[in-house]
Amino acid sequence: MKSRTRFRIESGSSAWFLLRDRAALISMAFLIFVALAAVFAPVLTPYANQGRGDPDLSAKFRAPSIEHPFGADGLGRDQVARLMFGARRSLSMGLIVVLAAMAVGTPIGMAAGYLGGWIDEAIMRVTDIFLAFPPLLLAIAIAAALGASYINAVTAIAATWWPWYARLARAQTLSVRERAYIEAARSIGVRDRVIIRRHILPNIMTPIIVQGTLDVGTAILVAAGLSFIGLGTQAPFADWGVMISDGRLFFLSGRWWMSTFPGLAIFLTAMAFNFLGDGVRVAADPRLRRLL
Amino acid sequence: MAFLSFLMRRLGLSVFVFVGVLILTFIVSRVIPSNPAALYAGARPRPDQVAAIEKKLGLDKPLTEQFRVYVGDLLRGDLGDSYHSRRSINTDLRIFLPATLELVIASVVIALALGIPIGVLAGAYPRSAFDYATRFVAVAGVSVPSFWLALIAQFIFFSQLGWLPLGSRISRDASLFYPIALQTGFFLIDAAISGNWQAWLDALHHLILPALVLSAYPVGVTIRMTQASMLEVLSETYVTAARAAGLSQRVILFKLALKNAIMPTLTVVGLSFAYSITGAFLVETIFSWPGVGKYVTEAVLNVDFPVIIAVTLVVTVVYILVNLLVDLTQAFVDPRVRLA
Repeated sequence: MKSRTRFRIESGSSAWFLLRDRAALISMAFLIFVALAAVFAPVLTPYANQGRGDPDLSAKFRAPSIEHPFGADGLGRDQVARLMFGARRSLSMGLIVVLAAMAVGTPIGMAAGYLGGWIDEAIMRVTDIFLAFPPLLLAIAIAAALGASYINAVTAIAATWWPWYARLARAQTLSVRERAYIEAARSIGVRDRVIIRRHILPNIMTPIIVQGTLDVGTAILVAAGLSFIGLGTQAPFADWGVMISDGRLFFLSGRWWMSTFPGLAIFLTAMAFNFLGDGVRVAADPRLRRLL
Repeated sequence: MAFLSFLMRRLGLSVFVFVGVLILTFIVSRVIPSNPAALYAGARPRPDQVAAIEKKLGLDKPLTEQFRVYVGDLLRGDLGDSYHSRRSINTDLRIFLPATLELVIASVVIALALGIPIGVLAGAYPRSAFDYATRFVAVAGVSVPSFWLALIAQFIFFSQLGWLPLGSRISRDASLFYPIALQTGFFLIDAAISGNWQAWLDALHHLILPALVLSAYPVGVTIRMTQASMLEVLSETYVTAARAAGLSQRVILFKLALKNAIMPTLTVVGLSFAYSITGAFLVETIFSWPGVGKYVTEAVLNVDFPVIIAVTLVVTVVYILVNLLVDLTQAFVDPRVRLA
């Protein structure tokens, strides 16, 4: 019996709370759907080459039909295929930005919180400087300095995002640092590096993951913004921001489908990450469960 | 006394951050690019143009010397020239910055006027249908791409309903027949000063749609923060005591609780400002709004690097000042902040 119930989710556990949150559940399903569409884009659409940018001038500005459910763009490319291939870039931009910001910010923040003193002070003042810029603006400047491309846009956004994780990790480290098990580890001569990695990191990971889930949606929005003004993905490839930009000038003159669908895709995906993030946050925090 | 020492500490931090911002923008403009001179010379420059820029910016000198020149120029208030238009960036910004600030302030006002009351009510009635609907609206607000919302808004309010103009700050008719005597650069203020009410109404009419679109994100943030802090405050014992004493719900919510929940909301002013500015960079082009956002997006298209760096610097300084103002107000109103 015991082996069969191994994968049962304990009632009252975090996962149990998450699965009871209907908004989070629907969001998760939607995100899995989008991710699958992105990963399997080449086999799912008959217009894979158009998704990668090849034009089909005979289908220029074709309105939505059974053949092209979301219509075709100014170069006759099937919008469903473009959306699926665009999802690869838009989703990966959001994920990479957040993961990179986490990977850079968390160790820096932990070092600041654990070591304290002038190192802490110096690191925190540097984050002050980064956070003094309105979001996006510094990313625009860095992306422009690096040159317009997908990878440079990701780099630019991540370069402006890590301070948030550094601050979060520092605050969490400060609250964990004085616990008895850290003192015990230190008293038997465990090295600082090991304490940080083995004892502090696992204990501060939850809030960082929660923040990360919430941030992916925002990162996708910011990345789409950079692409929209021309600093992200470059032709012939597209992400959702580029697609909105491509359709922008035709939007009011009747060819509404070009910008509408990629916009909806960004909107719903960002919303799903927000609901999922909220769900994870509540599920991971027993105090919040009671409040809501 | 506590306020004075807070003031000094906070001012000191602002000066430090300002210097840091100078250094960081210097790094972005001179160290990160592989060939800064080519960037400053714009798209497809001739070799002699690049050489001239190199000389002008002192790019052949060591970085410390370059930084000295860079800061010197800035402190004299010289932001350089646009590669594309050859105009001085100072002249351009004097026109574009007020346009953006007018838009951003309008959207912050909308965000607070909508977000605070909605957040208070949602916090007061947790788990109600209103609370759930509000939560959905708040999440939608922070998830919608502003530049897409702008297109949809134009489609509904201009193409379909015909209620609001498509874009720009003022109609051609109004600018011809009721020209606004510019002083501050804020159309609403300048028109009001000179009693030019036709132009004032026209400018307001043009302001509504872009300001509403920009307020989507800050409205969402304001609702969430107000709702959360209301929820916290309403579980305090003094609220229970007020209930027991028979005070009306209206007095409890908006007089007692809001006063204590307003602190995070003041923080929201600074945040709203940041998000509206961010949105402005993406939305102004769509509304043909002649502000710094449109200026920057055009600079991106024209590879006009000096403009991008100058705007980054100037808007960040404005943002630092706004945050300073918010913090000082907060400390002035709430003694707890000063002592922290």
